[in-house]
Amino acid sequence: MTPDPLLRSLRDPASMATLTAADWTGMMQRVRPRALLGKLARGAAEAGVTGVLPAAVQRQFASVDRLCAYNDEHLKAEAFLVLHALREVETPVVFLKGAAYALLGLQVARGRVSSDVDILVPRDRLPAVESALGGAGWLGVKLDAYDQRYYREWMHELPPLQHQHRATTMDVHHTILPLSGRIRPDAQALLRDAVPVEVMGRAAFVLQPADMVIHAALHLFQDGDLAERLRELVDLHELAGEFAASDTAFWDTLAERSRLHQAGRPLYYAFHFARRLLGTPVPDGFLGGLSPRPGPISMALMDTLAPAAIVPSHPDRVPPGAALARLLLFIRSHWLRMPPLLLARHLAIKAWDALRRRLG
Amino acid sequence: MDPVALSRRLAAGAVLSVPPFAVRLQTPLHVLQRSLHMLYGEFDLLDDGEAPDFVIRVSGTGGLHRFMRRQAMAFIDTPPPYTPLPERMAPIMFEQALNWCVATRTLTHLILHAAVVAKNGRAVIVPGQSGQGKSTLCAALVARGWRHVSDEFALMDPSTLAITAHPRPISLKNRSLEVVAAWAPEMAQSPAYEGTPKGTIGYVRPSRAAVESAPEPVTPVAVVFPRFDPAQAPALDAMGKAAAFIALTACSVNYREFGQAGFDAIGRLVDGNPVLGATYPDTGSAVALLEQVVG
Repeated sequence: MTPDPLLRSLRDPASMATLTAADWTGMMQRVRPRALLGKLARGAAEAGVTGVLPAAVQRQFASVDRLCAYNDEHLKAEAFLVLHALREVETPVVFLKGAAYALLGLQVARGRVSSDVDILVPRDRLPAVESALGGAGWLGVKLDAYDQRYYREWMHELPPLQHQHRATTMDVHHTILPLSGRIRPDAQALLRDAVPVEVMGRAAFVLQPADMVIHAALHLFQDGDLAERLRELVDLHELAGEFAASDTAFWDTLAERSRLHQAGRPLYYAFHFARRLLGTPVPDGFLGGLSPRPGPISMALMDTLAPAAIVPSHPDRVPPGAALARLLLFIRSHWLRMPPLLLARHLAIKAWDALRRRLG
Repeated sequence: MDPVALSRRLAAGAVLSVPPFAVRLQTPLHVLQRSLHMLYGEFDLLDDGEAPDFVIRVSGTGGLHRFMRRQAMAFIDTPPPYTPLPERMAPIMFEQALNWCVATRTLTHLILHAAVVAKNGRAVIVPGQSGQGKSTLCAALVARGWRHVSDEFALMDPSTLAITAHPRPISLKNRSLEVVAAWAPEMAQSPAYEGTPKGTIGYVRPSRAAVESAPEPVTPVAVVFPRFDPAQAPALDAMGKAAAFIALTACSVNYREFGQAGFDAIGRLVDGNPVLGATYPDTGSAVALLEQVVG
């Protein structure tokens, strides 16, 4: 069993009953900024140990439960408002991540503190979608000319939108990875095989289960820097657990879809580390059947760096090893995102901007 | 607890009972350690084996500020939405940080931005944004024997409407400091901190009675919106139910998160109790109006 009280509490929520005050003080500070408090609260409730926890922990769990319940309602209401705003646009609307989890009532939605809405639409529908959303109050956050170009030429989504009155943030995607990167998921297949879902009488879609898991894995291990993003690994753990419980072919479908989306490597990392850190029951042979897989050097590096980076540190005491791991994985995330020349140019422009801001 | 022992514990990190919360504070700043001894002198230090609701560290900002114009900043686990203050204002920084924790992280209660005072068990909610006189009125009533239930946040149970006490140092600004000092010279006040972003700020020390009675919740019998106006005669006016409902939702910091339960709670509060506007030209008439409300 792992000695880190956070990982132990996620793997075995009943063990929270044995934590000391010092454990709680440190752990609450680590989980709150990383949106993991709700997961602990839900784990304690399901394990039936909430009542024996310290009074302060019970109060904070009760508060985060209320917040999660509100976010769940909020995401469903926002989903409806998005569909209403897009009612005249001829397009399928696929809800991604938190909104999809809430609409489907998945286990992963419970205890999840997140209120941003993400949608996927066909790329040729983007102008019409952006204009209809703008008419309904979702406006682009202010970006300079370079950042605008960065999003529109190389990214997989529009610059983030924010609702002018409700402060809700929304990302409008046309695929699930940056266009500048080396992996090209099949955006048409994502849309073609999406699953219908009804949102208060309006028709919408969510990704099919395997694609939903692939999206989460790509987000974390291909497009992300991993730093303190344990919550997303918990999402993967819970998604796979629930889908596999209701569909015996789930892992086979997942392997097959990963070839279609060129997602073998990130999916390998996702379930290698989910199993290692959270004990996800990944069937024998699943990881070995993925293609392509990480090579031995990459694997050894990731095995050293990823756990230190992904598990949240105490905000006042970041171990030097974790800081270094995060820096190296931050560089990796940019390397995966752009070819070398584009990356060099991007970093030069960002450094120049930072210098100009400093000199005022 | 003697000041030296308290300072030593605060330097290492001590858990303070600030009902209904346990707050872990760590600070190397003497100005804050001394102020804690004065303003929280009646509160209990908890055993270090007590898990806290909130963890706050107030310290310098480092860098060049170590050598010139020293600053105080509160550090919580997430970057808090405020800027450092000069080191001598560290006590204000702590109060701000704790207010921020209570307001943004407490969803066990529907929170109104309001003072709550009670006489003979009959509690009055006194809402109001900063500067409208709620804290001045709260201090003035407490000086005349009213129970100090809360001076900043009414923590209301959405199903029973019972209010959990959260007594804290009463924050007074600018002219209120002199008004309260003249009205109740015997009440212990902190030093006045001049030149803060909100002018001069000082605090009234909560009494032992306020802290000891904190575990007992109160039930509101009225809501009174204070309106200080030196040109008007003292008067109580009933507010319309709809206007009262809207005014109360506007002064709740977490109404949205409660959804239907919050709507019902404020509806019942407004239906079951008088909601009044109290206009007064001075402290004496304000206190008389509130005495009249709890009759």
